[in-house]
Amino acid sequence: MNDNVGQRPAMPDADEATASRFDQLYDAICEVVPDDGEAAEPELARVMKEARSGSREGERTSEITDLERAKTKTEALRRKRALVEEAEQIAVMSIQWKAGSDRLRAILDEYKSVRGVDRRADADLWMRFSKARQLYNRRRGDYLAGLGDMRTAAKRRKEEIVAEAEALSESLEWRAAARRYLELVGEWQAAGRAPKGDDDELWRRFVAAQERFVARRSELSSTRAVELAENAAKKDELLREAERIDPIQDLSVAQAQLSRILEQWDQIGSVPRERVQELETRLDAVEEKVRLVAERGAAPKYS
Amino acid sequence: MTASAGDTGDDVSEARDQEFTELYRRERTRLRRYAAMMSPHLDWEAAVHDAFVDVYRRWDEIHTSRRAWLNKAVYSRLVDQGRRCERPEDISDEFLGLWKTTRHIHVQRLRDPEEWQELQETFGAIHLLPDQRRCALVLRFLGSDDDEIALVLGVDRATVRRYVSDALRQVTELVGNPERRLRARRQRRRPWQNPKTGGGEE
Repeated sequence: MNDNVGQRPAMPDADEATASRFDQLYDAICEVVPDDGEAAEPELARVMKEARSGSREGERTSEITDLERAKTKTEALRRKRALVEEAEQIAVMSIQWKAGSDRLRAILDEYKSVRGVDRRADADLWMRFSKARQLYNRRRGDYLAGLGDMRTAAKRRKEEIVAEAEALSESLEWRAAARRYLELVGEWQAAGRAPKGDDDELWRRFVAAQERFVARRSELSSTRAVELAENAAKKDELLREAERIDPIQDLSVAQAQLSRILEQWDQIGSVPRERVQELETRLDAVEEKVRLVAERGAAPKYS
Repeated sequence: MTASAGDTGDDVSEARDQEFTELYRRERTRLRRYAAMMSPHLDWEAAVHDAFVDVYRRWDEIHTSRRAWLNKAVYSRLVDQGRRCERPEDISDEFLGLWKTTRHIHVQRLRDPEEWQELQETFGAIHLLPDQRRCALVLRFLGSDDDEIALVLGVDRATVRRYVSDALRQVTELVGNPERRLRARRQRRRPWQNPKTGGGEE
């Protein structure tokens, strides 16, 4: 029925072997797609029915559909472009490797879910996304490769810090040592991470040195406070004795008593800071009383 | 007057249906073979069906050869189908690699095993060709002339001849006579004939 397919075609310019292959191919294709004359009629009816049913309605709705399609396409393109730009930023900037990897995976899932972008733009965006992922993976790989060296250097630095902290724990220069401890904590943080087991052990030693220093200072402070209070009590006792001196009765005895008291006063040593003023004022008053009598050669007139 | 206009419209429609039916009966089998050879791994039957539906709807807009228009419509649909399959989000790279290497023509294996093997090799060689060269070769094989292939591919006749010639040479290199394959390789190595390959004069 069909003169179009009745004759065996031939390939000009093909050598014998290739021509033979093409003959086989023609037989095979005739076997797969036979010239089924009558069987084509139902298919023809279906084609015409579909063509007629869609022709007018299709024309009416085509403009609306085109608009909607264009809008969807633009939105999908915008979304994909935003995702790719974010991926490129992560690839260049991020050093939070875990978070960066998680975000790139999430971007990939979302990228796959956005559809409707035309093929050329999609291929370009995919290429950019793919390059961003490669760049990120390369940077991450480089970082991980250099991590061993960085940790060894960090361990060395932290050992130095711990050695200094342990030496400082014996220091008597309280203020300077406390300031240096603060600086050492900053240097510790800047040194980065040593291998995990070593890092924990070094930190434990550092903290122990600090605690030893603080404990020594506290202990010494409490001992000193008791000593100062005792001194204050002794000076109180001396003052009571000094205030009983009466230079009017016998100036020379009074002066001798005051000299002895002053000598003992100096030997006692320091008192708590808050009592210094009070005690010194009382002593000054006694000295003044004796000095005035000595200067005038007579008893002062009391009102 | 109205009745007369309606009658004229019906006559035109009837004439169009008649012409379309003739076209369908004449071209259906050849078009199906063309589509099956072009892309057996895709839904080539749907491509042919859609092309006929489309040609009916655009009947009055087609001013060139309708047969060429049909060929072009089928070609475009097959290329679209192929690209949809290759989109990165649709399938994995592994599947794509597998899919690209497993194009077979599904003929019955009630034949000589050697012949079956040769058939698959020939088919595989054709499918290694780029889309346009494959289309030109298959259309030529099924009897289309240079003008028609030029219309389908949107190129000039000289380009069509080059496409067919290149495609045939590539297929021959893979499945043709071994001596000819050797000659073809030697010829390709001559720098004055193919400067892209480089190298000095022999």
